[in-house]
Amino acid sequence: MLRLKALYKDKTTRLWAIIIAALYYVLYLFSVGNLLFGRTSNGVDIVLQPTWQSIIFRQRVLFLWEPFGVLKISSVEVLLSLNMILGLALAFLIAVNFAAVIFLYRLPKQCRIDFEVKGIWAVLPSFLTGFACCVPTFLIPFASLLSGIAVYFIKIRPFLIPLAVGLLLWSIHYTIKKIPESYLK
Amino acid sequence: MNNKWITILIIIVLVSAGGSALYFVDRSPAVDENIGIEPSGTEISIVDERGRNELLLSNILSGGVPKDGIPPIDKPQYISMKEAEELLRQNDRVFVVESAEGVKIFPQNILVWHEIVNDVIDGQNVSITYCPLTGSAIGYNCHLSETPTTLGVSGKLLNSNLVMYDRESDTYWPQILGEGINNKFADRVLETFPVYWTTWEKASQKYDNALVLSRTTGYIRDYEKDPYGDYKNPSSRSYYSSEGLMFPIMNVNNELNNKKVVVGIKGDDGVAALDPLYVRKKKVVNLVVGFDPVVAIYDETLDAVRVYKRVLNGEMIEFNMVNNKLVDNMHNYEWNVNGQVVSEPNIGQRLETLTSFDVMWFAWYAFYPETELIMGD
Repeated sequence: MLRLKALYKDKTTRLWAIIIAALYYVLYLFSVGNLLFGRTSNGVDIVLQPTWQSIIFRQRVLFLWEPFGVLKISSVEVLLSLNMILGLALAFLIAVNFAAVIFLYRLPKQCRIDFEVKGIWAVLPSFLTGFACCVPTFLIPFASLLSGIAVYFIKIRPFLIPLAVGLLLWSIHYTIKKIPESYLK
Repeated sequence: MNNKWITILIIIVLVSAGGSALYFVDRSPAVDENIGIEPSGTEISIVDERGRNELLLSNILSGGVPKDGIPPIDKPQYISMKEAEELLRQNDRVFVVESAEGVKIFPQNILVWHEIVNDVIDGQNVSITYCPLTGSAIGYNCHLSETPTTLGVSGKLLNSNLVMYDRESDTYWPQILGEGINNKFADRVLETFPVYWTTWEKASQKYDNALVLSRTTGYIRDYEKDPYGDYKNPSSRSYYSSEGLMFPIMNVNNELNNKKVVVGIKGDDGVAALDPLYVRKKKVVNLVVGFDPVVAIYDETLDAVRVYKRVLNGEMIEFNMVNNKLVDNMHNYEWNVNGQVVSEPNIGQRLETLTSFDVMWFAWYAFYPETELIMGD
C-alpha cells in the first residue's frame, strides 16, 4: 500500500497514469461498440431506453452488457452500459501498471534494478473481449486466413477478462515491489 | 504484504474464472460433443445411417452468444416511407414482404443485429428471419400447434447458418432447412412465404404506402453499421465479398465462389440452385426441380427473382416473353410477376408460390449437396 501511495504522490507519474487510463478507456469503449463517431446529433443529450430497468443487467455475451441509454455529445455517441464500469476497473488497473513502470523508469539509473515493462502486455486480453458480435467480428476481415479459428476463439473468450484482470494484478504486484524502500517515505 | 497480495490475486482469478466456467457450462451446446464435425470436403448425404437429425445436431456449433443474445424483435414498430426516407440511403438493402394487408419493408441494417422479427401478418404469427453469415432472408409461418408461437435466436449455428428455436417446445430449426431437428417438432416443416431482397431505391419507387420497420426495437444498436461488411460497396473487403468462412460446414463445393448468391429452390422432390443473373438476362426461365415444373420470373422493379410452380388447373404450362409481356404457351394468357393472370377471361387466377430464397452458394450446398445447379448458357 505504501508503494501505491508513492506512485500516487508523484505528480508526473500520476499525470501519465491518468492519460494512459483515459486512452485505454476510450479504446475499450470503442472496442465493445459503445463509442460511435460521425453521428448527426447536435448538442448534448441523454436518452434512456423506456425499458432500461429490465435490460441494464442483461448480458449479450459474458462481460458484454446490453446498452440501456445513449449519451450524445455532438457527433459522438456513448452507449451507456455496465461495460462502462468494467472499463473503468480495467483502466484503473492499467493506470497503476503504467504508473509503476513510469515511476521506476524515472528513478536514478543506479536504482532501476531489473527494470522491465513486460507486465503491460497484460492489457491485450481485455481488448479481445470487446470485438465480439455474434462471432468475433475483429476476425471477419481475416476470415479467409483464419477459417475455423472462430470456433476455438469462442471457447476461450469467456476467460479473457479474468485472464486480463489476473495478469494486470500480477503485473502490479511484480512491478511495484521493485520500488526501493528508500522511495516509500 | 506479499502474501496478502498473492492471496487477493488468487481469490479474484478463481472467482472470475469460476464465473466464466459456470457461464460456459450453462451455455454449452445441447448436442453430443463426442460426435465431431465431419472433415470439410467430405460429402455427406443428409440422409445418413445415423439418422439425419442426429447428424445435423452433431454438427451444430456455438455462435458465441447465449439464447437470444442476438435479440429478436418481438414488438416491431413501423414507420411510414416518408419517415424512412431520412434514415435509409438509396442503395441500402431491404427485404420486402407482400401480403393481403399490405407491404412491409425490413431494412437489412436492422435485421443484421436482430436476425428475427416476430410479427402478425394477415392474422398469422409469422417470423421474418435473416442470417447475415449465409445471406438468406426467409419468411416463416409460426402456427405449429393450436397456440401460435414465436421464433428466437438459439445462439447456435449449423453450416454457418442461424439455428432458430421455437418458444413453445425449444425445437431447433436451422433457418435454411426450415425443419425441426429435435424435440417436439422434429421433422416438422415450417410453412414459408417469400421475402425479396432489393434496395431502398427500388422498393420506394415500387410501393406507395408500405410500412418500414422502425429503429425503435427495444434495443440500442449501431444501425448505421453492418458488422460483417458492406453490401453497398461490393469492392470493399468484407465477409460478404471474401471467400473465407467463419465456421466449418458439412459439405464443400468449389464450383462457385462461396459467397456467390444463388436462388435456392425447394421442390416437393428435389432442390435446385439457380443463378439470378441468368434469370435477369432471360427474364423468364422454365425449369424442372425434382418432378416439379417451375418458373423463375425476373421482377425488374425489385431486381429480384420470383419462383412459382408452373401448373394451372392441373396442367403444366410454360412461360415466354412475347413483346416484353409474360405469356403462357397453353392459353396465351398474359401474366404479371406476381404469378397472376392479367388478361381476360381469367384475371386474378394465380400460380402457387414455391419455397425459394436468395442464399450464398456455400450454405445452400452445405445443406443440399444433392442440389442441381442451373447457371444458364
